Amino acid sequence: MISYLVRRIVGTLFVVLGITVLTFVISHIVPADPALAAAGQNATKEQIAIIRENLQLDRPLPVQYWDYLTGLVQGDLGRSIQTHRPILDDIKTFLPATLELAFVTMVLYTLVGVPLGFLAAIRRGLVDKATSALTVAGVAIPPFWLALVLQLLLFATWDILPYGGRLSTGVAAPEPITHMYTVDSLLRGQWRVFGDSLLHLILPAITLALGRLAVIVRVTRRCVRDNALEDYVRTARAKGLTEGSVLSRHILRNSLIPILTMIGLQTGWLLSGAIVIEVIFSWPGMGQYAVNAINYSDFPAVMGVTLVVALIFVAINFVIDLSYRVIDPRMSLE
Amino acid sequence: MTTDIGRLHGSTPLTRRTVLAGAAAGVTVTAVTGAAPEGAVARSRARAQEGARAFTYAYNYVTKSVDPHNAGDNPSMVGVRQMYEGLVDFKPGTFEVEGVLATGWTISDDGLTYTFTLRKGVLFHDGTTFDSAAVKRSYERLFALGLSPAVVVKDRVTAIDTPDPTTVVVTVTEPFAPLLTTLFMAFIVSPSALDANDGGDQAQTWLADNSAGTGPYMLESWARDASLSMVQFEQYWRGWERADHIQRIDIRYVTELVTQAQLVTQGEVDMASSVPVDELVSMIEDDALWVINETGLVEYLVRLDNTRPPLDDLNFRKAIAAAFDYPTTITELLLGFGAIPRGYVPMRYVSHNPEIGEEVFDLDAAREYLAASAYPDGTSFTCTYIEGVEVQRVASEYWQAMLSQIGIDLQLNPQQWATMVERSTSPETRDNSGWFAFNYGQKDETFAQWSTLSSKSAVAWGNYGYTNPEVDALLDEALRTVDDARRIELLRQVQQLARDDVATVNAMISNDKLVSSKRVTTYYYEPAAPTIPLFYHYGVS
Repeated sequence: MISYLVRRIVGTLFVVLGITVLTFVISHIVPADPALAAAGQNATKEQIAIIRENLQLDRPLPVQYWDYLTGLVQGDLGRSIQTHRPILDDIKTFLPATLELAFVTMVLYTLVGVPLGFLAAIRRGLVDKATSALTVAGVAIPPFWLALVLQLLLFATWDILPYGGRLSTGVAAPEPITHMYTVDSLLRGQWRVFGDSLLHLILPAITLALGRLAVIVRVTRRCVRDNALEDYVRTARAKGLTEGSVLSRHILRNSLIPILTMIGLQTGWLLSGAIVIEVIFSWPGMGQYAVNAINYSDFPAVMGVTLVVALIFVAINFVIDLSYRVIDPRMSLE
Repeated sequence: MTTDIGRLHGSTPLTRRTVLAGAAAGVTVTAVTGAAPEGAVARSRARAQEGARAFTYAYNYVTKSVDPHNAGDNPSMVGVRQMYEGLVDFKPGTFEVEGVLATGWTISDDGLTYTFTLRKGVLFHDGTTFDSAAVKRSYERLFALGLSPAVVVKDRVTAIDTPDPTTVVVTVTEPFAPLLTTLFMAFIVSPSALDANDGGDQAQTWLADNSAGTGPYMLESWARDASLSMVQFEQYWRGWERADHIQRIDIRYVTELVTQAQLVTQGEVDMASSVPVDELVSMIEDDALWVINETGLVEYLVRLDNTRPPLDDLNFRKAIAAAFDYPTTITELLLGFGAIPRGYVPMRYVSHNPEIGEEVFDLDAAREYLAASAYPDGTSFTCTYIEGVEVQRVASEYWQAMLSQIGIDLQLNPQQWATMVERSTSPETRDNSGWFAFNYGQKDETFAQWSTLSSKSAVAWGNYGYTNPEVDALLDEALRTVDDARRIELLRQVQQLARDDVATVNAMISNDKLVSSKRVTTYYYEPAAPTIPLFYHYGVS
C-alpha cells in the first residue's frame, strides 16, 4: 500500500510538471501580449512596456519558467493580470461555486442515473425504451440550448425558478466558511439563504446533469446486463438466493467499478468543462474565471486554473482507484 | 478661462413628454404595451418596496478592479465612477466639462499652467476631509501604478503644486488640449486610507475590497464575477434632495444578452445594459419597459493601411469603400438601430464636420474606381476583426460578398482582441485593414482622433498604418490647441482630409440601446461616457 502511494505521488508530480511545461509553453507562444491586455485599449506603447517590465514578461522564457516553478513549490501560483490578486486567492473565491454545482449535479445524475440504468437492464419493454429515449436525448441535446430553453420556460414563462446567479438580488451571501452558499447557510442556520441558494442551483444542475445522466444510465444498463449473464449469477440463483439479493449483492456490486469510474470522470469533466453553462447561468465559478482569464490573456490565471483542474482530476482518479479495492477486495492496488 | 461648477437641479423624469423631447434631440425613449409576463411589474415594485430605493443593473462585462487607479477598462469604471470623483466630470447629457471636486479653474495664457480651486466641505468615505494634498497624493499614486487611462498625461505633467489646501496647480510641458477631459478619470482617494492600508502595495489589496473616495456610493460588497453592490454615502457633498435618488446599487454581471432581456422583462433587474437588437424589436411592445435608443455615438469603421499594396492605391481604397453596402448593414444587421456614417467621427460629436456627406454604396462607381486603379482586374487584401463580435463578422461577410462581385477577394482574419492588437503593431504582422469601434474610449474627441489617425499615435491600439503628413500635422496642432473653436476647426479639416483620402471605410453607426423597467423615473444619457453611467443622476420610484 505504501509503495503504491509513493508511486502515485511521484507520478502525480510528473503529471504536474508536464502540465506546467505544456501550459507555460502554449501560453507564451500564442501571439497575444498579456501586458497589452492589462494596459487596456487606450494604453500607449510606453505604458505597455512598463507593464511588461512590471509583470517580468521581458525576461528570458527559461528564467520566467524557473521563477514560476520555484513559486509553485512555495504554494504561489503567481498574480492574476486581470484581478491583480494572488491566483490562489482567486481560485479560493471561484472554486467553491464550481464544486458546489458539480457536487449537486453529481448527486443528481448518480441518484437518478444508476437506478434508472439498473431498471432499464432488468425490466425490458417500456421502461427500457423510455430510458433509451432519455439517454439519446441527453447525449444529443446541446447543453447550451437546453440551458436557454429551461431559462425561457422555467424563468421567463412560468417564473418558478431563478434565471441563474448564486443568490437573488438583495439576499446577502452567508458569512463564508466553505464559500459554498448552501453549506455555509446551513451551518449558520440561515434558512432563507439556504432555500434561495438551493433554488439557484436547480437549473444549472439539471442542465449539466442531463448529459451526464445519459452516460451513467447507459453504462449501468450495459454492466448490469453483462453481469446478469455471468456464471456466478446463475450459481447464486441455483443456491436459492432471493432475486433481491442476487441483484444487489452480486450483479450491482460487480457492476459498480465501471460505474464509479464513469462517475469520477464525469465529475472531473464538470469541474473543467462546465464553462458554457457557467456563462449562461451567470454562475461565478472556475469556468467563468477561466473564460475571463483567456479573453484577457491572463496567462498566469489560465495556468493556475489548468493546474488546479488537473490536480482535481488526479485526485478523483486516485480516490476511484482506492474505491476499487473497497468494492472488490480481490483487486490489487499493485 | 474660468468654469464654475453647476449643480444638477431638476432632473428629467422619463415621461412621454420627455420621450418626445428626447426624440427631437436625437434621443428616443420608447414605451409601448403588451407582452410582459403577468406579475413582472408587480414584482419589480415589491422589490423596490422591500427597503431602500434599490437599483439593479445587468451588465455584460465583469468588473476587473474597483481600485480607481487600476481601472483601465469600462467594466471597472462602471463601479469606480459611483464611488470616486475627479476634479472635473462631464455635465449630465452633454460633452461639456464641469467642475466636481474643483469649483473652477484657470488656464494660463501659454496653456502650461492649470490652477484649480477646490471644493470645501467634501468628505471621503472614511470621514476625512478632501483637500489639495489628497489630489497630489492621488495623482502620484496614479502615475506610479501606471494602470489608469489618465496616465497618458503623466509625461506631460512637470509639477503638481499645492500652495494651500484649496488650490492645486498643475504644470505641463506643452499645451495639451485633452488635459481636462483626461482628469475626469484621475480619481481622488483618501490619503489617510492609503497610508493606513498601504500594505507594501500602495493599498492595492485593501482597495480591492473597500472604497475611500468622495463619490455618492460606497462599496458594500464585490462578489467577483457575480455582482458589485454599493450603498448610499450619507455625507455626500451634493446631498440627497431628490425624492427618487437611488440608495443602493447592485450591478449584476450577466454576460448572456438574451438573459439580460429576460431579466429586465421579468422585473428581476431595473436596467439591462445590452440587449440583442432582435429582442429589442419585441421589447418595444412591452408596456412595462422603456426602450432607450440613443443615436450616433459608436461608429464601426475599418482602418486601412495605406502604406502597403494594394491599399496604397487611392482608387483601390475608393473602390472598396464604395462596395460596402451601408444601407443594408443598417437595416438588416442593426435592424434599424443605427445610421449610415458621415465620415469617421460619429455625427453627435462636437467636432464632427457637418459638411461631410453620408457614405454611399455604389457598385458601379466601385467598378470605375477599380478600373482606374493599379488593379483593374481586382486583387485580394486582408481584414481582421475581433473574434466573437458578431456585428463585425456579419458586416465583413456582407462586404466580402459585395467585393467579390467586382473581382476583389477579401480574406477575413478573425482574431482575439489581444492577438489582433499585438499583430497590428508591426507592418510585418498586421493585416491590410482592421475593424475598429470609434467611441469615447479616451473620453476626449481630440485624443481619440489623434490616436486613431495620426501615424505618430503612441496608443498601441490606435493608428493601423495610415500615414498622411498633413493629417499628422493638423492633429498635432489640435492636440496643442486649448482654444475650443480653433481645435474643432482643425479636427474638421482632418475629417475632410481623411474622407478624401479614404483613410477608413466608415461602416455603420450603432445606437446605444438600453432597456429599463418603468421603476426608473430619472435617466440621463451621457454622450461623453455612455458606457459608464453615473447612477447618482438616475432615480427610481
